[in-house]
Amino acid sequence: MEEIQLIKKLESLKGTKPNNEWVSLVKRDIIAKQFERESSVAFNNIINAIGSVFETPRVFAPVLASMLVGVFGFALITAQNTVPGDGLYSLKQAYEEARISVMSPEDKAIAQVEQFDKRLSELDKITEESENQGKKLAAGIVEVQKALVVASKQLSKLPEDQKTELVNNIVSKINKIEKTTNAAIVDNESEGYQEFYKFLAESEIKELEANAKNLTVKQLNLLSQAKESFDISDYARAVEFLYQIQPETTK
Amino acid sequence: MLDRVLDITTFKKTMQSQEFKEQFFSQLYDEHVDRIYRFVFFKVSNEQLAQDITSETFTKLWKEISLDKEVRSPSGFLFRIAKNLIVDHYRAKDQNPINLDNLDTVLDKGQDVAGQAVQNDDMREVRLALSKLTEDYRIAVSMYYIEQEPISEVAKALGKSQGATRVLIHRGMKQLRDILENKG
Repeated sequence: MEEIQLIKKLESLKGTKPNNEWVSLVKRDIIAKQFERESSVAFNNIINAIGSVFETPRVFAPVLASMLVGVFGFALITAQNTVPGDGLYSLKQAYEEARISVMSPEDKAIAQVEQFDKRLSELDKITEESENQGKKLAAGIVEVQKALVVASKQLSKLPEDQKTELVNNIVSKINKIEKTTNAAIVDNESEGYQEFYKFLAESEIKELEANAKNLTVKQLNLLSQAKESFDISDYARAVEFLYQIQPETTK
Repeated sequence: MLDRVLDITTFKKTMQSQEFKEQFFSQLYDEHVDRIYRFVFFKVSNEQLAQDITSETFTKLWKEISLDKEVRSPSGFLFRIAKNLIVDHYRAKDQNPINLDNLDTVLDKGQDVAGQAVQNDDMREVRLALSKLTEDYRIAVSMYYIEQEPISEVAKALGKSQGATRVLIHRGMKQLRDILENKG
C-alpha cells in the first residue's frame, strides 16, 4: 500500500466519534464533582522559604510567615500576575528567590529553568499589552537575559526525563516572541543562548542519525545541513533545519 | 498604580471564580473529547471501556483546573493521562487489548449499508493494524495522522524530543504498512 493511501485511510478514522448524549452527560457529571485543596502545601512552602532567607530557626518561621502573610498577603497574591516594570514585581521575584533557596539541587535546577520560561511568558504578555509597553519591554528583556544566564548553568543538572521538554518549550517560546516582536530578545552570541540551542540540536541530530534509514532524501539533506551548521557552532540555524524535517503528509 | 493593582485583583478573582473554571473546562472538553475518545477506543476496542477511560481522563483535568493548578499544554496533558490510564487498566486486568468483536461499535451511521460495509472493512483493517503497533508507535501515528496534532504536542504526550517523535512516526508508519501488507 502506498504511503499516501495509508495516510488517507488513517485520516478517515477521524470519523469515529463518541455518542453525543454520553458526551454531554459526562461533561455535566464531571463539572458537578468537587475537589478539596491540600491547603497546607502553599503555607509550608512560605514557611520553608522564609526560614531559609532570614536564617531564622525553623521553629520561629511559622510565626514570621504568619506575620508576613498577614501584612503582605494581599500584595503577595496580587504580585503573582505582575510583569517587569510593575510596582510589585520585585516582591514576586523576592518570593520566587526565597522559594528556590530551600530546594534540593535537582529541584533548584528545574525551578531556575522554569523561571526563565516564566520570564519569557511575562515578556510575551507585555507584547500583548499597550500600557507602558516600551518601558516594560525594556525591563522584560533585561529580566529574560538575567534568567537565561542562571538557567543555562543549570541545564546539565536537569533530570533526563524532563530536560528535552523544558528546553523545547523555551526554544519554541523564544522563537514565538522573536517573531511577534520582530526583534532579537536574547543575544545570539551569548553563552547561555548557545547552550540551549546546542543541547536541543545535539539531541535531535543524535536521534535522527540513529534512525537515518527511515528518512527520505529530502529529510536526509536537511539533516546534513543541520549537522554542517552544528559543526560551525551555528546551533540556532541547526535547529531551524531540524524543525523543517517533518513526516510526510497528504497536505 | 492603585487602579492597576485593582485590575489585576479583579482579573485574579475572575480566573479563580467557579463560573470561569467551568467555562474553561467546558471549552477544553468540547475541543478534545472526540480525539481523546478515539485515541482510547482505537486501543481498547471497547465502547464502554473507552467511555470510562475518557471520562476519568477529563475528571483529572477538571481536578487540576478546580484546584487552580497550571495545565501548560491541555492537549499533551490529556493524551498523557489517557495513555497512563490505558496502561494501568491492562496492568491491573492483565488483559489482551485487542477485542475484534467490538471493532464496529462506533461508525458513521449516516451511510448506506453497502458503503458502510466497505468503510467498515477498511476501517477494521487499519484499526486492527494500529492496535498491533507497539505503544509509542501507535500513539505517535494516531496523534499525528488521525488527530493531526503538531509534532510539538505529540512529543509532549510521549515525553520525547521532537526529533525522536518524528523518527517514531516514520518507523510507526513503516511497521503499520508491514502489518497491513502481511495482513497481520
